[in-house]
Amino acid sequence: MQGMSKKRRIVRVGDISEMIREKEDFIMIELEELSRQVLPCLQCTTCASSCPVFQVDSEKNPRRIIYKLSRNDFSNIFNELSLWWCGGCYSCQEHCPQGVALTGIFFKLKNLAFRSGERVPNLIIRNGGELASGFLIRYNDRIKKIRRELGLPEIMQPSLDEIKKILQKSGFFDLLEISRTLDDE
Amino acid sequence: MMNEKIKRYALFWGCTIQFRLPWIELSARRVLPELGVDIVDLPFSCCPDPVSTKAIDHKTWLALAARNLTIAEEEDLNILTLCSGCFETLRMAQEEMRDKKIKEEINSILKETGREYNGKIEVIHLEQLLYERIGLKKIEDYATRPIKLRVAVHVGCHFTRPSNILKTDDPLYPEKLDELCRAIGLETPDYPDKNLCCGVGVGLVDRDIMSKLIIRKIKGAKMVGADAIVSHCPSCILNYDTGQYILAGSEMERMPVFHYLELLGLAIGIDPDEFAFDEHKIKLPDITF
Repeated sequence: MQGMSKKRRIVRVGDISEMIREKEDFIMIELEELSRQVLPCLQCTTCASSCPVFQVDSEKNPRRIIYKLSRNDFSNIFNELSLWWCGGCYSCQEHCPQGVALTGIFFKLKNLAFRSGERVPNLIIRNGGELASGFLIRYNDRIKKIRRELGLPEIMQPSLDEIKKILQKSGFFDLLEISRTLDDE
Repeated sequence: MMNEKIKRYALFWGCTIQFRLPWIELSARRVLPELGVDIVDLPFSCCPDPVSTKAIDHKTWLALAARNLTIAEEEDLNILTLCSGCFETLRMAQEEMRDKKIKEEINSILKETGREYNGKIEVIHLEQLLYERIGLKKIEDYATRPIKLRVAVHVGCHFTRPSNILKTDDPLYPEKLDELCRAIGLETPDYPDKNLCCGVGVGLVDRDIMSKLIIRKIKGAKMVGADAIVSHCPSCILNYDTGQYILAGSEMERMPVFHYLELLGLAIGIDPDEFAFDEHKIKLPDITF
């Protein structure tokens, strides 16, 4: 469009702190939205008792995250263990008698953790890194040999150029770059 | 034998089947044509997975799923998937992109590749093909060699949940796979922890919890005297078969795991030698017809 010619932007120290503040504001707005989504929660504990992880390890309680959100308490919210121990099985969400979309909320929190550069599990970063190869698993000689022995065709390869363009455009590579792993602690 | 054409489908195998459990791919390539299904292979990428990719960035997850959908759209083929994770990703992406604003946003990313998602095709899971398209009655008729085994049916999480979107079976008490099993002669007792998650998702961060979930599952199946677990989810099958194998030193007796298609294949008369039963880590029981 005319009149929208690119202006070279000189980034000053003040701008950077402004950028950080904008990002923090964005995270805060999203967290406040999640707080609104958990308003119907009555703390009945159905989510916890239906969670497969909680059933074998009571340290990982999904209800705690919902409780904190409901009280607008966002302190260490990204460090809640049950967030990263959530495998996305949707059991809590299906069981919730109040219709709170817990699993969706947990995924949103995980996305926000990545955006904030919070510590996240190593294997999730690793899987993310593999995506650029088209699959989560590398097509190595061992797998090729097994498939050949079974009389199966070669695995069809997707266009890596297209995948990289998508990962670039969506900002995925930038997210991986700022990610820090929980395992470093 | 049964050559009434059901349809041609673009088969979405997914990472787990193609790389980790190619014996499931072998079973599908052998059994599905017998049921009148033509398989077309297309260069799909990872779906991408609904646990880790979705945890990193929702938009990227949607865009890569949309790209896969456009590949089938180009060929004007509906997608058939054997993987519950791929099914969940592709179906959820379709539903989300029914929102025009989201579709436009995703298409603005796809534009970089010259692609555009239109929402023209359908995505179905193997169980839907068998239960809804072919139907129990036909499966029963095809099964001329009913199999005498007592099995613990395991549906897993991602085929039914979130149920408001996937709409496949009851998310808390699924029974269609049980019915499909009974149609080929199998006994399907209810058992403790029947709907318990296999734990593969939490395995990303905690192998110990994953093992505990596997042990609980096997105990429940043993309690009702099951000979084997039957499932159609590759991740669950991988977790139970390989998982039990790795759990060396545990006190439990091991429980073999079948993919439903293997038993269906045997029941409709395919020679056992045409499958790759040796590829299972846990020794399979003898099967009597």
